[in-house]
Amino acid sequence: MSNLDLAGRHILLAEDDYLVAESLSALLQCLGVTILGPAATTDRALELLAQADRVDFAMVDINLRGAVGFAVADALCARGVRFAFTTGYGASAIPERYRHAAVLQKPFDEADIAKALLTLTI
Amino acid sequence: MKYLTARPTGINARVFVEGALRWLPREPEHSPLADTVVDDGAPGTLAPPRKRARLLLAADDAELRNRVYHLLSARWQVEAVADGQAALDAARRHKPDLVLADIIMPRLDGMALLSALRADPELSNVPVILLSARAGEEALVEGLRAGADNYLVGPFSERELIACVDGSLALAKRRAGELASMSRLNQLSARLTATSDLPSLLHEILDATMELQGADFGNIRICDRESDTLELFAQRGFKPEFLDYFRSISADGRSSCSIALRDRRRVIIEDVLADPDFALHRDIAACGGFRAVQSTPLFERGSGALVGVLSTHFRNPHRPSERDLRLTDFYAQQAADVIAFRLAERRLRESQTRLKAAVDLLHLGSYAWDPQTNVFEWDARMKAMWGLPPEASVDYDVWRGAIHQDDVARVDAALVKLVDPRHGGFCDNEYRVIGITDGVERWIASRGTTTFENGKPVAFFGVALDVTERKQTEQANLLLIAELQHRTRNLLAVVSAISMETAAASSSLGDFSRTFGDRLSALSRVQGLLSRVDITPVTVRELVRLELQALGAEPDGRRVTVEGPEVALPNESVQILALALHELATNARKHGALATPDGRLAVTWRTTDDDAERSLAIEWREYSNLTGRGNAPSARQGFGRKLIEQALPYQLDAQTRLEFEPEGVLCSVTIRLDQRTGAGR
Repeated sequence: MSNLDLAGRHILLAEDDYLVAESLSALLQCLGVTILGPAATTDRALELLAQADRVDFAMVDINLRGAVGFAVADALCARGVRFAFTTGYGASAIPERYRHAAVLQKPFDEADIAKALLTLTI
Repeated sequence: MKYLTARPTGINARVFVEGALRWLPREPEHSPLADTVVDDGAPGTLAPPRKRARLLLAADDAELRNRVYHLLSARWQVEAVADGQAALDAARRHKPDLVLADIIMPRLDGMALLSALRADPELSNVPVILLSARAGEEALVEGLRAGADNYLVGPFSERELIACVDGSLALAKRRAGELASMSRLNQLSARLTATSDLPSLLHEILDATMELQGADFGNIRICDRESDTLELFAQRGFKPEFLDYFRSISADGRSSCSIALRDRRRVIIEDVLADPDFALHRDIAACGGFRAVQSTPLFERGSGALVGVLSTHFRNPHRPSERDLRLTDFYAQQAADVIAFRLAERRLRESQTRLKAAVDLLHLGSYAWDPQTNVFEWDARMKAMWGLPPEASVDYDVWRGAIHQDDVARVDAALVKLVDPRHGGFCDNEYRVIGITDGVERWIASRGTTTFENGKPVAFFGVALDVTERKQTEQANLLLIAELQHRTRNLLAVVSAISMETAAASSSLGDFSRTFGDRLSALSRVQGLLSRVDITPVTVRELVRLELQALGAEPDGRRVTVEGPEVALPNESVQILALALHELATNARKHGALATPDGRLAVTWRTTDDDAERSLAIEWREYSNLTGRGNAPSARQGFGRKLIEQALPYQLDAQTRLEFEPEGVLCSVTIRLDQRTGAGR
């Protein structure tokens, strides 16, 4: 895994489970990524997005504190930021308009994440 | 002047086809041209019952005419005229059975007469014999080319003349017979395709065959495939009591029918008394009144299956000619077609009955649609699925208008495929329908197939089933599976995070394995509670006791006290709280109140209400007086602290406090109790 490719990238992380967010952050930091967040709620994620000067990519949990919503995804689309959904649900939980979006299944595998990020941020 | 009298002929036998037999003698007609009619001479020598053929003789040469007239009139009716035109006029007045014409004649010569006869549709089939007094071979050859049947060059003998006329008449009669049979056959074929009265068709075929063969009796039997017997279907001439006895015939009998059924070949018994194979059946034949019989098996086209037997019977010994048998085969094929059609029809009826029963048993609605005219035909069950009464009329708009808006696009897409022959014209679709009069949402499973003609859809037929119940169950199951998957995957993500945390803080593999094992146990305990949260929420007391019990620290009201009201925890708080409690309890047992005999632990909680929200405050207080022993500093920065100070606020918006006071650990956690802790909703 080449850290160089992801190093310096700014990635927004929206994940409501602290432990999952923590380990994911640790993993991404190892890859040289700058983390925005993590955000446990939709509001927090939108706030971070609004404040950030630079967002290269986002990883968004479909279910943030039981609220299945796509406000974050919509905002990312509006800003032209590419993103991947993270979810424990199958792909069927994703609505039609996001059928093309990347989905990272929990639990995360380090190699899978790095691969996905490289594919999606290049 | 010579006179010819037209005399009464015998009454014609039944003729099959009038038109084909027009050349045969008719009822007597008096010729209006009496001067051309000559007496044929010897009426007394003619046996009245035999029909006599009518000959027309045209010869300019009086000697030739007289001689020929004289020779022929002893046997046939002869009309003699002096030239070709007179002959043609006479023939047009009364069609002769044969014309004898001299080649050289005034007005119209023999060749011209021949051409005129052949050109006249009424007379074209009359046999013509050309006569020539001199050997004008070239003219005769030309005559034969022009369609003459025969010729005689003078001088010819009486025998030559008689034989020539006889032969031509016999040939013409055979030709006419063929023609009549073929006409009959054609008529039957045409009727076969046009009529639905199959029994009467079979009777007609039987009649035609009997007439063809000159049979006295006959019958058609149809093969019953299940019992492999021949059942009487049509008959002519037999006595009813005889037929009662032979209504059903099996393959092991001795009759010609049995043999035909068994051997699948035609059986001909020329004389029942002479045929050794038929010896055992003689009495029965005698009883039936026949001496000869033929049985022709009837085979279905394509499959070659024996579907029946066509038999004809004769009072006298008789063997049908090869020609008769050949024509019989044509009739037999028609009879086979009729029977096969009847069988196919019956099978169709039976299968329709079965289909109807199946459709009823399955509660299937059936529909038909003509894509060209847009005419819809629905049964009552179909209409009920659309929330319509049985008498409601249905068209495209009714059908499509009731489809759930989320499913319309999918149904439309399926429809486009359905009427496109490249997609095979089959559809299998499930969609929702909102009942038109009752507003009930129903799931409809529909299967249909299109019939194409020249690449155009001409008919669409299908069945539909109300699958609402199944769909509801399916969807409930899908939700359950998705939820289960979600929980499992999230749990695994948490386990993986805990293992990373534990590994980072462990001094040895043994240390890791012990701590990680404990934490996994705590996780698994709380999963037990979580599996039923949808039915009964988890209470604070339950969760606290569960964690304490796991360490053997049963609340005893003295050393360990657990006190507070019954409060249901928000579902999403249960797991993370359990993990935090587990860390607190583990720390207490290792280093705190539960590590010394005189330590004390009090867990209390209360709820508070203000205008904005209802909260729950939990307090964990240890009295262990461990100041002197010193608390392990690692615990202060450990996983428990992280959970309490970071995870709970992050995940639940909790307010937390964790103090390592001189008298022991103090931890407080306050969480909101409204339905959802997050701001996401």
